[in-house]
Amino acid sequence: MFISFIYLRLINISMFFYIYSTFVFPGSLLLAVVVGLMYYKYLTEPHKLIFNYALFSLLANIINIITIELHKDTMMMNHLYTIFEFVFLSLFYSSFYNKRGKQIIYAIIVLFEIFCIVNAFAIQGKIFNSYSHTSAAFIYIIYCMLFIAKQSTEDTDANWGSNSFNWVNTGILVYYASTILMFAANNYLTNAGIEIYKKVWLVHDTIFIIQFILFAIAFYKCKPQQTISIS
Amino acid sequence: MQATADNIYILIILAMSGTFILVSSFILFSIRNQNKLLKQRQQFQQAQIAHQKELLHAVIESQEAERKRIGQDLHDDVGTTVSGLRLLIDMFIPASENDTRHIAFLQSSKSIIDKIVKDVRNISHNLSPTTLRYYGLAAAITEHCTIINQSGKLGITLTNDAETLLEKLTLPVSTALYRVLEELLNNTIKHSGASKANILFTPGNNSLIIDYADNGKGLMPEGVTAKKGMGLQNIESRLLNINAIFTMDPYEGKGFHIKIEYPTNQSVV
Repeated sequence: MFISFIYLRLINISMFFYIYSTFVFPGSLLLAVVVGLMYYKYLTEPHKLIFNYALFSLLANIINIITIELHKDTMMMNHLYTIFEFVFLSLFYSSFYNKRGKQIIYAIIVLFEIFCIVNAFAIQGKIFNSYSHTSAAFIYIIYCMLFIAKQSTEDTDANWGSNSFNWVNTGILVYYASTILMFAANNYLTNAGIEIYKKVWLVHDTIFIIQFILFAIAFYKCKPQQTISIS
Repeated sequence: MQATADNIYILIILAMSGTFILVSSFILFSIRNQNKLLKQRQQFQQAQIAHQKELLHAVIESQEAERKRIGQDLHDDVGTTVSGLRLLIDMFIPASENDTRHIAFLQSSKSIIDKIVKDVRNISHNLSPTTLRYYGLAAAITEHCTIINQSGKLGITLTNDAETLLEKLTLPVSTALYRVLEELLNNTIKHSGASKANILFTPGNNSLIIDYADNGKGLMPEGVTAKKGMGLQNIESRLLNINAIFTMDPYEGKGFHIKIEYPTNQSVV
């Protein structure tokens, strides 16, 4: 983050932003997808949800880049992205709970999707969906904290790093906790000018890249370790 | 207006960076704590295992000492007394040389005594194999296999490709491995219905590898049978005591295979 902050002072911000958001940013998504494909046979159902989320993000990002190149409006895509992202991540976290916990998460998904649709068509249709995106980020942070609370009582016999879900959860928590304020203030930033907007999004992209690198590590961790039965 | 806008982005970047650092620190601290707790638990478990191993070691040692004592007593006391009885019967002269009842009694008494002597010798050798003590594991197991082969209960093929390694084994290790193989052969004869068994000694990477296989019905997993048998428990205890590891092939309804690996580069048990 700090490196990118200093760097953007030194070189042409527009060129740097272009390279970073067009190549480096989707590159991290591609990395997660490639690692996921390499270890796909070892992935469990929750891992596959994260893999599908990475794949979906990659495709959405490519479409987004093309749409921007064609000078078309991408706001509706943001709304759609939030809807699908919420389904993937909520289903991922639901897999750690019993039937009752799952039912609660399914209810949250339904209610949130209704809210997203209402927001897309009646409230923030033409602008960035800061209400739904910020709300989603808030819910993800709750999911993450509950996951940590659950893991700290259940998963006590293994090293933290050996549990691939810890890496996924860390990625999600770091990303959404760090960017929630940016999502909330995004429409104000748009009004502040394109250069300012780009600078903030550079920081966002860096944290996003970290998230997907952590996902790639999680997929790699799915590979079973060689065990020897000892007497 | 521009100054205010500049402030907004600086504040947001600072807030994002601050949150990022806060969350990362929280996660790093929780990782450190979790790993610290895990390490403490592992240390405690290792101490418990070490204590259990010490107890096991003492039990096995005293068991071997007791076996040796009983074996020697049987051989020296019972064996000698019975041999004396045989001599006494030989010395007994009948009133008439044509007393057929006496001759029959003499012959049957001598054959019974011979059987007792043989049984006592076998039992005392089983309790404390002298071959193992004086000639090592290879000789002892060869002798044991020869006895079983001669009895016709099982056809055993013994292949020894690790003669030098076997010669270097200490007596407690040789005894443990001998008892394990003895138990495996016993299980094969009693429970598997096998006609053939193979024992293979090979040198590994800083280890001695023993492959044991039979063509019987195999060993059912623990969940299927009510509980782990005493024989298997003995095998586990003996191998644990000498820090050997073992792997068993999964149950497939035919044949039994176990691979034992004894690390030869460890300190003497």
